[in-house]
Amino acid sequence: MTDQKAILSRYAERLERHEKGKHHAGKRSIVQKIWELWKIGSVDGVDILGIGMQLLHEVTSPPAFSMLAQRKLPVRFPLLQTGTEDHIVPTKHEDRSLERIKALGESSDMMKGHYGKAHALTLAFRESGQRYGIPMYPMGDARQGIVHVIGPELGLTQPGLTMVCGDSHTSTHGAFGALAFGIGSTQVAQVLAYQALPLAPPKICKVDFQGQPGEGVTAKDMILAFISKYSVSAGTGHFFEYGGEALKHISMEGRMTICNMSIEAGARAGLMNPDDLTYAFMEGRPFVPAGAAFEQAKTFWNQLRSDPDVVYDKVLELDVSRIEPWVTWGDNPGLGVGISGVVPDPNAQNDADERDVMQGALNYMGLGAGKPVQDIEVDYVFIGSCTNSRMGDLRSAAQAIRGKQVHRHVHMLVVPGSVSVQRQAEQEGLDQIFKAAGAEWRDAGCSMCLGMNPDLVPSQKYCVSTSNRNFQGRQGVGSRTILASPLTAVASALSGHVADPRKVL
Amino acid sequence: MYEKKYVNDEVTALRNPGAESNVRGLFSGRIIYVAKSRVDTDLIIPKRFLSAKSKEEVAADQLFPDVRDQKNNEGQFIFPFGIKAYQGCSILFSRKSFGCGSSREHAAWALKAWGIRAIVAESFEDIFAGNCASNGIPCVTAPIEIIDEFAFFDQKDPGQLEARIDLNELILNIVDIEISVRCDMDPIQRQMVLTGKTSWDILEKQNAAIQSFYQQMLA
Repeated sequence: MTDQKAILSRYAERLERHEKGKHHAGKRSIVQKIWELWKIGSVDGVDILGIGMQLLHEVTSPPAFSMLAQRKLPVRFPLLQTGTEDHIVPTKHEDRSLERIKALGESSDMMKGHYGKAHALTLAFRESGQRYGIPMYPMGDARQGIVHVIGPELGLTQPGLTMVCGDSHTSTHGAFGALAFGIGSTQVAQVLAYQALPLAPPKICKVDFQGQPGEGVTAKDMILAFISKYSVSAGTGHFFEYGGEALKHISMEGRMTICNMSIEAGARAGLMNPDDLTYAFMEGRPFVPAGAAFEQAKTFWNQLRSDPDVVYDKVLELDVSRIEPWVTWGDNPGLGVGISGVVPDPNAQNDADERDVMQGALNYMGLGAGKPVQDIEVDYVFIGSCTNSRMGDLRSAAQAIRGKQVHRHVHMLVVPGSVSVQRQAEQEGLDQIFKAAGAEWRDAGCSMCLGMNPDLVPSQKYCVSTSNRNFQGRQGVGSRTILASPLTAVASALSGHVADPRKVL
Repeated sequence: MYEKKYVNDEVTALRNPGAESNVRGLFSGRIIYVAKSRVDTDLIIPKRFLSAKSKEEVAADQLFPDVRDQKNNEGQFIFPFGIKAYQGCSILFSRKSFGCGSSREHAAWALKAWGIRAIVAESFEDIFAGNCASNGIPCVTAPIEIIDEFAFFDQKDPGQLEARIDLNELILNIVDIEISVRCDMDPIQRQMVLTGKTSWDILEKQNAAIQSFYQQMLA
C-alpha cells in the first residue's frame, strides 16, 4: 500500500475487479450486494465481513487500542483507518488547545469533574494514531470535524464500501450507498487487528417515504415523524433501505440526516441507492476517483443499486405530504408530535409499558399531558451535531434568522460540523448573520449534542436541538431536549418558545 | 395468556444445586430488576464516564448513576442498583428494547463491573447485545408476561428471587416461584457462549482467508 488516497480513489475499480466473473442468483438489494462483495467467508452461520474503512474518534478508540496492546496485536491496515477528534473538543475558539483542555479539566467541576480526563484521553488517542501510522485529523487540522461530517466531505465515504466506527451514528454514511454501521470498542479493536468482523447477515427493511413534503417540512421532520410512528425499536435486527418519491425532494445533506437517525429507529444501518445526486456531491472530493476513473466508478456504483422487485423482510412507509414540522416532547426520539400538536396523555395509551415510558418522560421533561408543544418555553437552542451541521443546514438556518433577533431568554449556539463547513460558512458570511442575531458561532465539534465537552445544557433547562437524541441527561445532567429541524430551531430561538417555522419565518 | 412450558426433567436438573458447576451456558444468581422499557445506554452510563482509556477503568458506581433514586408511580426504585437488598444480584431483568441508543461498550463494562453476568428482557437493541456478547454477558429474551409475574413477586421480597438460565436447553427458571419457560438468544451469540469461543477466536481461525482477501483486494 502506498498512501490512503491511492487505495481509496481506486476502491471502486478494485471492488469491480473482485466482483468479476461472480454469479449471483435472484434479485438482490443494495445491502445484499455490498455484503456479498465484502464477505470473506462463513463459519457456522457467521459471516466474516471485510471492512473497507474504519473511522476513529477520541472516545471509543482508546479502549480499543488498549485491548490491542493487551493482546499484543498490530494494526493490520493503518491506511484503512481514519481518525479525528470531535466528542471531547471544546468549540470555543480560545479553548482549542490541549493546554486549554487540561486547564478546563483541572479548574472546573464540569461534568462532575470528569472533564479532567479529557486531556489524557485525547493524548492517548493521538499517541496511538502516531504509533500505528493511522491518518489523523486532530483539533487544529483543517480537515478536523465530526467523524460523520468529514467522511463524506473528504470522500472517504463511497458507495459499495463497508464502513464502521465506534459510534452508532455511523449509519449516516449509508446516504451514499455505503454499508455503514456503529460498533462497540471490542469490535473497533478487531477491525484494527483483522480489518474484518464476524457478523450475522442482517434482515432488510424497506422504508418508503411517499409523497412530497409540504412547506417547512425537512428531512429531519420526515425521520422524526417516522420514528414517532414506528417507535425506537422499529428497525431492530434490520438494516434499512430508504426509498420513495419523497427522497427526490431532499438534498444529499437531507439524505444524510435521515440515514443518521436510522439507529434512533433501532436499525443499525440505513442505506440509500446511489444516484446522480450522490455523484454530484462526491465529485472532486479528495479521496474520490477523478476524471475517467470517476466515470468508470459511477458505472460500477450504479450496479450496486437494488434490483427491481426485491422482496424485503419488512416494509414500513410514511406519507410525508401528511406531516408537519415535527418535535419531540419526551425522553426518547420516538416520543414526538407535529408542531401544532399537544403533549399526549399517557392514559390514552393501551400498552402498559408505553404508558410507563410516557409517564416517566413527562416527569423528566416537567410537562403535563394536553399542553400545546408550542407553549413550551425554551432556554437553549442548538444547531449542530452529525445530524444537522452541514452547509445546507447552516444556510437554511441563516436565511431564516437573517435580520432578526434571538429572544432575550434564549441562549443559541450554532456549531459547524467540520472546519471545512466552518470556513465555507464564514466565507459566505453566515457566521456574521448568526452573530448579528445574537447567537454564538463556534468551532467544529459534537458540542451540545452529547454532554461530553464544555457545551452543556443545565439541569431542567429546555433545549430545542437539531441533534439526534433526547435521552435523559444526554445534553447534561437533568437537561431537557426537544429534537427539531434547523428551521424549527430558528423559529423557536426567535420566539422564546417552541415555534412553527411556517408561521415565524 | 402465555403458556408456561414446564419441562420437568430439565427443571429438576436445573434445581439440583451443584449439578451445573463447570458446565458452559448455565447462569444462576439473584435477580435485579429495572422496571422500565427502552432503557438507553446514556442512562446506563452517562457520557461523562466515557473518558476511560481502557475498560478496566469503568467502575460499578458509574452504572445508572443519575437515576438510582428515580421511583415509579408505585413508589418502587426503577434502577435499584444502590439498594441494599439487590447487592450481590448477578442477573438483570428488564422489559423491552433494553440498551437502545449509543454504541458505547462502556454500558456492558459498567454492568459487568457492578456484577451482572446475564440479562433477561423482552427484547434488546442490536449493538448493545453485541457489546454484551463481546464481554461474555448473554442477552436472553423471555416473554413479557414472565417478567411481569417475576416483578409481582420481586415487589414483595426485593432482590431475593433467583434465576437459573440454561442456554443449552434455552430454559429460564425462576427458582423460588417455580416458573420455567423457554427463553431465546441470538443463535450466534449463544453458540459463542456454549463453545467458549469468542469473536477473537473466530477471526484468528479465519486469518488466512482474511489475509488472502486483502492481498487480492489491495493488490
